[in-house]
Amino acid sequence: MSQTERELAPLLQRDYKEGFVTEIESDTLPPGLDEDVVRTISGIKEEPGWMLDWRLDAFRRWTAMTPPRWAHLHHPPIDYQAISYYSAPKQKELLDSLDEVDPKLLETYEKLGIPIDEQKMLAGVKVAVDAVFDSVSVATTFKQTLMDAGVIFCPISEALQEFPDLVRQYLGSVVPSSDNYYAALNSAVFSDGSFVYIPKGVRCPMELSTYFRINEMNTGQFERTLIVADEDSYVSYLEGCTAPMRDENQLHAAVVELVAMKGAGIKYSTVQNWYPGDEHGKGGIYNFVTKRGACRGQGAKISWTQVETGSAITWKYPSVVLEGDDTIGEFYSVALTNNYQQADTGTKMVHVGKNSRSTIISKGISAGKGQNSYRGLVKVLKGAEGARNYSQCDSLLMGAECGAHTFPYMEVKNPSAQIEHEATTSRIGEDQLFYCRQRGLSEEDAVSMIVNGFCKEVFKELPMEFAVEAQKLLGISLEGAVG
Amino acid sequence: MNDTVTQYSEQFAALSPVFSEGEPDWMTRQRGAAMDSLRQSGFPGQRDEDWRYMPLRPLTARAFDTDITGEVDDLPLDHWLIPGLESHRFVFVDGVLNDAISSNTGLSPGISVRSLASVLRQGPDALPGVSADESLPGNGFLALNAAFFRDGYVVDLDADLEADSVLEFLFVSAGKGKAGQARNILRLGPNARVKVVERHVSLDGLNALVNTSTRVVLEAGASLDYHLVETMGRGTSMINDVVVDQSRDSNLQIMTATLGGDVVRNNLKVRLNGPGAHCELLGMYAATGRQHVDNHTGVVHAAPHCSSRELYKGVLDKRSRGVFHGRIRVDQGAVKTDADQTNDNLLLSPDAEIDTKPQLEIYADDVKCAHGATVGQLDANALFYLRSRGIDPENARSLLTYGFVNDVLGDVEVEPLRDFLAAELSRRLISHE
Repeated sequence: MSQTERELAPLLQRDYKEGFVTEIESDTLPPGLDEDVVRTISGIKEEPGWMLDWRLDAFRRWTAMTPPRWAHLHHPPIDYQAISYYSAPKQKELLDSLDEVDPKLLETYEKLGIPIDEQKMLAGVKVAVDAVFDSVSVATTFKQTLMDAGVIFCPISEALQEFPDLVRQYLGSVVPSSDNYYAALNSAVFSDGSFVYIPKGVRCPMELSTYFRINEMNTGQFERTLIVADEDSYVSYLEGCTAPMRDENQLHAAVVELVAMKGAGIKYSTVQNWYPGDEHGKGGIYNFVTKRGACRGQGAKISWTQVETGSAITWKYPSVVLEGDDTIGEFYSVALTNNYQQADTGTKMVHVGKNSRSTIISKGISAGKGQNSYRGLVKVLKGAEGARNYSQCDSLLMGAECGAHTFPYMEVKNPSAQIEHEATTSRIGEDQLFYCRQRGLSEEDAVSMIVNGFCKEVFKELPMEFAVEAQKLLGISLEGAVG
Repeated sequence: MNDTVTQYSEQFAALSPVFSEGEPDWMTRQRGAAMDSLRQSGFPGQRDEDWRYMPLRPLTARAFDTDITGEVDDLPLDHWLIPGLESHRFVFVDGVLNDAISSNTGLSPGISVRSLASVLRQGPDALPGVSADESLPGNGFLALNAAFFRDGYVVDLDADLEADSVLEFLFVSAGKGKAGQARNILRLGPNARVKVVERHVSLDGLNALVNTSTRVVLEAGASLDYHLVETMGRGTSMINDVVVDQSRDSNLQIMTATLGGDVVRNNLKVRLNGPGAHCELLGMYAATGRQHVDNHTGVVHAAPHCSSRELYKGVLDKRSRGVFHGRIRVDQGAVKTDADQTNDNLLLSPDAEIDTKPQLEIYADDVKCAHGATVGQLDANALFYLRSRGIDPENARSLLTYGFVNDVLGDVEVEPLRDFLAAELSRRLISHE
């Protein structure tokens, strides 16, 4: 241990301030998973018959599948029968307005700093929020303003009742229910999530946001998000997540599908701050997420930005299928692992259309005993004339016991494609630190400055409020982690 | 157990008496254990992450004939010699040393080159390191080799010995439908230096398999310049497995040139076990027709202050497919590691394909590691430039392709070999033969 490391070791223990539990009565299904559970969830949501069939089909596929083993992750096998697949805060009646939301829930979101009270929001910072608590959506703000613009933004369970045809047309069209083990599980038991539809030529008047919160013990959260941007429309969507501190591991298996038609643009930003477990690796969320977007028409663009600081285990590959000509896919990621956290994350860019372009910028930071892997695929199909990809994966190591790994895959079937991949791994140099300290910066400020510089290319892609939050999060997570 | 493994199992039963004649007991046991492991685990399939891009059917759909005599009449040996290369040449036919056609006299004292088959018959203690090794083969092909190998070379260099000429091992596949399986051992004592050229050739249309396994041990300060040159004809496929262990301050340069064969897989693993060790992995592959070239490399930095450099360049034409999988692992405590890995590819035809997977696995913090990979085609501007100066398209392409692989070729110190590779490259690839 170097001197600086010793001095700053105590600072490494950070608090997870979102780790409280909300005392609220809830309806929770007993643990276990079989066809009846799937039927019950579908029944509670009063879903159309085709939806139940779709879920059951996914469930049967799931039972025939085995969990993937290729990821650079180590965890005990998950007992899927020990998890409760549905939990909802008790509600007396259907809600007409926000005033009727249980004050305890409002308090929870206030504590988390999520604005679900429209009046109290600052003028100028308008973000529509869908707040998901365990298995259900408890509040969605600015619904009316959005409706006036023609934008649909509502819980997916509501969309299944009000816009069933629209949902049916797109649900599972990007991530089929048989896509992978966790996607199949999600397709069978997902309980809520957000649905967004932006009509032709509309630029969504405000940023949309979903805030996910796991509260109940022994539950898993399986949310499903579907965003459809019709021709020449645009939307920017934010996602945030937290959970209480618990000693046991909780499962989160989400599916996010994005569809961008001709000329449309979707920007999807995530700040993932699930409970990462304590400094001995106890507890924390297992985060197995399938995120994929399809650029369906000419000139469509999908951009993923993610800041992954939480979760005991992260298994997540936001991808873009570039189906149309001249389409653009982007992936900007900062993934941080501290203590015993493990992350295996990256992206897939599948080039189908001519002159499709993709950019991948991935920044991994490992501290403590964290293991951080980048895994990415760039695939150029035969017809993707003139496809272009640039990938850059940098890793920063802090401490002698952490690991940083890079597993890029490149499959190229078209000779006109230009593919470049670069990766570097290094640590914060003593000389860099010395330089900063010599100019009067404290050790902590110096580290924070260097790390922020390292992540700058990604942070600049985040919407304003998120960028500030992300920088703060990174600051807390890394205090003193200097080697 | 699938049909192929059953067939091998039967062949093994038939050949066991031949193997055990004169071989020490421990070797008989090792062969049996390898056969058991093959029966149990079988051959890898495309579901195995390390073999996913590999067309395995041509290699595993049926059993090759493992009954090898090593006798042959009338080989066009002159056709395969490298012009101007002065060497001590050892010729193996289907993996068995053939003294009659080798030219191996006059080796300096301190260099010993023996046939593995004869070493094994010298007594139970002839190969102490090998006899003590009870680890099971890592995959089905290695198990096949360990169960059925007939011969191979055993090279030992005394401490401080600097070999004055090149050791050349020429492996010829000659039997139709045969699996030539050599097992080689290359050991350099402290501060010894040698240049080795290992070549694999065959006639067209043999339908044969070459399945080779080589162990290299470099002691402190030793230096090895090792060239693997694979120019088999059509109809021969190959699995070439090389594992190198390096002690402190040792130096390895290994160059793998794959120009021939149907399906060729090179597994190369280098372990840097002592501080100050350095390795340089060079690769060039040029494929055309329906050839498949698969290069798997792994460098393990197990000690501090080691460095590794890796440069693989590939040219793919027609319907060929190339695969590069490079892994660098830096163990905990291997500080001050400097590792660099590059894989560049040139696709010359709309039907060619490249899959590249450079990987870094790093468990230490004070390291400098980088890797990069590129895929592209010949620069249209450069082609235009050459054509505007009166060079026809064929020659312009040829010049630029040669320029592309020259980074690797330029590092080959054995001059006649370098010229030979350049000529082979243009013959096989550029003139569309």
